[in-house]
Amino acid sequence: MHTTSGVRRHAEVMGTMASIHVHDPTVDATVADAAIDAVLAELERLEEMFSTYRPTSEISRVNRGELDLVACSPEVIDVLDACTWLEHASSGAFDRRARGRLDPAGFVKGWATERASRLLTERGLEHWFVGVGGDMVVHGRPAGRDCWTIAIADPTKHSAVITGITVTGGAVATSGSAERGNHLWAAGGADADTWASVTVIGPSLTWADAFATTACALGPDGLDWVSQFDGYQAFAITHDGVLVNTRAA
Amino acid sequence: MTPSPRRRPGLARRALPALALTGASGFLLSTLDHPSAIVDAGASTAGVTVVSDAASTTALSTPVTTPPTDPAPQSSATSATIPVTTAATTVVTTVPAAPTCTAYTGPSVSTKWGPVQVQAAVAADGTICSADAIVTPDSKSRSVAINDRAVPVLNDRAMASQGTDFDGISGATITTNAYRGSLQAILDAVASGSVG
Repeated sequence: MHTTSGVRRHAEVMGTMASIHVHDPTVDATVADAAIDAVLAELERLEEMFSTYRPTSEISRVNRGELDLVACSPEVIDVLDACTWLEHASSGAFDRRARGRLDPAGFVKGWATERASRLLTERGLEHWFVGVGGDMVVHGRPAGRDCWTIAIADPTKHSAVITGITVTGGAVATSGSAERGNHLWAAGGADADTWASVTVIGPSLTWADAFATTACALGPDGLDWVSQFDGYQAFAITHDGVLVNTRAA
Repeated sequence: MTPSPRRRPGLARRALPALALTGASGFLLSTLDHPSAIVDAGASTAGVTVVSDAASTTALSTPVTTPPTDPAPQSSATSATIPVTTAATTVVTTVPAAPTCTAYTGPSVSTKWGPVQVQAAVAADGTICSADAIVTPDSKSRSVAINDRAVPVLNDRAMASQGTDFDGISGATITTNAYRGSLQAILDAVASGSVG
């Protein structure tokens, strides 16, 4: 149980909730708090850079023709480059545009969470959990336990949890048809409705999140598509609430 | 700097257990023959095993026969479904004494569809006794359709009886993100001793 759980904070970011736990036993609480502040500030900075809901974001300014791509921040270039790569790698199933406008939202949350969480390591923290809206990065160990326990929400029923997994380090991300954001699935047609959700586990949240989104769009071939990437594992839940894993038979 | 995944010619073995939520009574648990089979031995930092729903009370006798490892090269074959046996009568034969729970109200989390706020009863040890979304985005037609599917209700008896003790919850939908956010805030507060 979480009786000696260190410093835990939560804050609203990117339209959802960030939850950050620092379990380092010997770290002063003020150090942990300062590190968490830095993570939250970085998430806010990146949201301001990428959010299509904010007219001042670089993405919004690009879409209005007020900002040239070559003048964008390096972070924006990195994200758009990665999105372009993913579009090709998924034969177009992943789409960085929505209705003709740049909308890398399907990529940014995981990428930003991973990027911001590195600030904890940079500040000397070894044992921490960073979750943003159901996608998470874990590092080290939770206090008093060998691994992190992550519940997987059941996307099909009004019950919260379909299973639990334990993770010793790395990332867990889940995408589902219910969060389709209406553009990622348009190209996929009927295949894109195969899975109620796809969860990807792997070393990088950037790619776990992006692969989960892409696997949903790919439909039946999505899990095998994920498995070509070293270190990444995927499983899906069907609309009937059945858990399916890669090449199970 | 954006990390890049490495491509791999062959398929790693995959051996997650199949689990299904039975319609009426909660969790059906299956166990792995070789949990380590899904760990990419030493190749990454992401060691993963599936746990028994964190619940000694749901130790079931419905093992799934883990399919043999298939070292064949990648093919386009679609993923197959693990046969799942639903055996409600074997689920949860031991229900622990109900913990003393205190009700908390989580923060309102805004979504593009509207606010979501969760009220939960949580024991001092972090066990979720019950949880409900007391504010849901139902003011727009789109929200109604989404909300009907997306907002989970955690007052399932199996959920309450298994002593849920999760660090986090991974899931898919916009409103469940907000729901989990609001609920996670409650769990964080209870765990850190800042309430109750």
